[in-house]
Amino acid sequence: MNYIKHIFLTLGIVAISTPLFAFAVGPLDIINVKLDPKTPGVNEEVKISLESFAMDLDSSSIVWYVNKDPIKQGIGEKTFTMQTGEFGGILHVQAVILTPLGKRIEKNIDIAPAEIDFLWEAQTYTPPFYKGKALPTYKSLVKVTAIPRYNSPSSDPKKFSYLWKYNRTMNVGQGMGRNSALIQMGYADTAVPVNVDITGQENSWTGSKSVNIKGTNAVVRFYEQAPLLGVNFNHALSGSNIGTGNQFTIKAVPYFFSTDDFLNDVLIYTWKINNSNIVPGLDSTVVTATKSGQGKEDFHFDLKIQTPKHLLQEGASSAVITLPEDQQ
Amino acid sequence: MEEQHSSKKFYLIAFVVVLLVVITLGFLYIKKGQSVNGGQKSLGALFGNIGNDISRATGNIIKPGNPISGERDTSTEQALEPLFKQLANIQIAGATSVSHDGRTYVRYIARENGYIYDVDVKTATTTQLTNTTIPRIYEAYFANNGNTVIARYLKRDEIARKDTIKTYIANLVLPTSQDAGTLGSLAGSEPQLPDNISALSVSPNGQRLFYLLSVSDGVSGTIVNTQTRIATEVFRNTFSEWLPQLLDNGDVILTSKPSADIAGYAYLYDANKKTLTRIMREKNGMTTLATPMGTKVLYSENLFGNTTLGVYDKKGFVQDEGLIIHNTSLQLATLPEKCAWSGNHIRIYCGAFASTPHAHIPDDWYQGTLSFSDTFWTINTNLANLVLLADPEKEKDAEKKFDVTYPFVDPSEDHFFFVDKNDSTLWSMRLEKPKFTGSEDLPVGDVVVPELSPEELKDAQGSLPAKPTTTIKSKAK
Repeated sequence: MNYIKHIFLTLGIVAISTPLFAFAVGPLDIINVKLDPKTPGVNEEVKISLESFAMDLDSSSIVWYVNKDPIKQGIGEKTFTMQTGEFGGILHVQAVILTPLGKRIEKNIDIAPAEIDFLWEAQTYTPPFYKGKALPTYKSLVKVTAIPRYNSPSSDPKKFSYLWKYNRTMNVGQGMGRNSALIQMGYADTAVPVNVDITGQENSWTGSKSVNIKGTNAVVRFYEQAPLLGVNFNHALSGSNIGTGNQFTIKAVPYFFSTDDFLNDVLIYTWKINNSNIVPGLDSTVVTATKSGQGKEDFHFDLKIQTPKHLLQEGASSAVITLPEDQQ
Repeated sequence: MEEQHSSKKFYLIAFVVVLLVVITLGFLYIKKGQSVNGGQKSLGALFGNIGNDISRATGNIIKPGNPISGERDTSTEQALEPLFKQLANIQIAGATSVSHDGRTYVRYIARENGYIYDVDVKTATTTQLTNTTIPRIYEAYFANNGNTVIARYLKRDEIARKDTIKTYIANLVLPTSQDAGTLGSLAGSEPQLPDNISALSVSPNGQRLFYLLSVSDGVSGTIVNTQTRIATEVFRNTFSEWLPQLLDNGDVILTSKPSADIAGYAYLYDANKKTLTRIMREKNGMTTLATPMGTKVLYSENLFGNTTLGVYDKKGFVQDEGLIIHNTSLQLATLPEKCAWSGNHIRIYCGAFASTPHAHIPDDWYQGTLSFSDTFWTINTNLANLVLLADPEKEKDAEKKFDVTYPFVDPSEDHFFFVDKNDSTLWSMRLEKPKFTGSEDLPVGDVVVPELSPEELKDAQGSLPAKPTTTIKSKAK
């Protein structure tokens, strides 16, 4: 009795863990089916492989059928590559295996195209109107979102069940309709693996997707802030620059620092002009240098930004601004 | 006898004087015709009341444009106009093409103060239209044939130490010709748009806009009729980092914000059915630019450190074995935001960088640490053939570097307009059509372009309501 229970348990695990509506039928499920990719999409090439530790597939005669038509056969033909169709269509793939001992085993795999898009967004700061992506930095939070599609080019993500993991083992959420989760990044230049297992209604379909999210370093950029034109985001200041008039105002933008730290104003700005510490005004991101005389003057701006909440989230920038001699 | 001789002499001198006057007047007349940038006052610009545009009064002549390139061809009137022409030498926040009095103008808004101007494309004569002050505009859009402006700027709360993104929508109220001498204004009637809109897109026909606003569990998307201001929330998603492009039919292309080494996705969102259909996936550094009805989408992709341009075709391209593919490479190194679709939505005009620098594109360009020196190209996206239009650094008397952004073309496609990102000034490039139009636009050999489907035909007409229908006949054998 225990033996039979064990067999059914094994079958169950195979049915659930094999992605894509794939299931096996046979007296003893001693042959595993693998799909590559795990979740083939629409009109995508998919490789089906048979694996067994209990029988010699290399010496077996294997015939592959698609929708009952024989497509491929031969001794040791353990793999079969085919193309999926459109959403809504199911391809019935059958592998008939004849072992050298005369035993016949059938494996049936139903493949319905499905897709999982894995999008993520770091909760780090970028300035207003910035069209680029916010990048993840040390210990910053990242929101991951899955967009699954099964049987239709557009499916409602709330009708699927999700299991989220990161760093391979840590569960960061699961449940029906929970198509997003929050993870925390590690060090810069190291990747955090995130995985989601998705199940359709009434276990009609299972799929999974993994992605490695790589951390980066925060950066600080300088821009000119003109009284009438505002901040010139089109041109970052670095190296040597020529200004006009008697004053020059620099706006510092702390790209990719944790958004919460920026909004809660916990970032520490250490400004220097010509190697002297400067205390900015109400807005810590802005400092102004003013000429002391009528001649040409150079101003060396240096800034280091740190956050006490995430010690390795830091960045620095420097630039030299030369203000010309007054016009007589 | 002497008197007779004197009379003859008088008539001869008079004849010579008259002849000289005639020659001088003739010369001046021809010269006037050639002086496309001579700062001549344009009556049309002052009393325009043609088409959908509303009437305007006398404005101020501001400053003519500065041609930077000499003549290239002596055979046509076009050739008399410089290839590149500066239309505004102040920083601008947004621009569009408008037509009135049978002439084409570019309407733009000054970044510094929000004043709106019309500049005659041929003569570069500039007319100020409004004097309502909106300081420090970061981006602006025009709608309703240029008669509505949407200006985006920052408002600083010094106590809370926070910036708020304000989005101001207003109609241009321009005085009638009876009020000559006065300037118009901006009427920003209620309802206004909410604060902190993260991204905004105006449909190509200018009738609607779409904006994204952060909500507790992600983002919401709202469509607003730019005339009635009726707003309808049409979109909710847990993922919020989108760049939207509203199409004329109300659908929205949603592209994930790009970064050089990160896979991007693009979707078509059907606002009526509430369905999100993926059109492109896992392309590093991808940005997009769709035609007004979304039948084609231009995209860029970072491939092994090189930025390449491609086009997604909704209908697909038929390959050798009947296989239909939807994406094809256009062999140009550029970003879609440096390109503009032609009226037939087959051809594109682009500024493109000669080679891809070792940089993170588009991140570094967006952050202002990277600037391009663009050459100008056009491509028929059905045939994927490139035609070089100009290399401004090699143009006679030019030697100017341009970093093209916010490009567009006028309905007649005589000019390609753009903002030079180096200094945010407005420029035009004259399009020399003989270089690329004619039989080249039609398929050759075994390549067949099918008749346009009703959807494509609508797309081709989408943003150009005043333009006659364009029909492309197939050359099927």
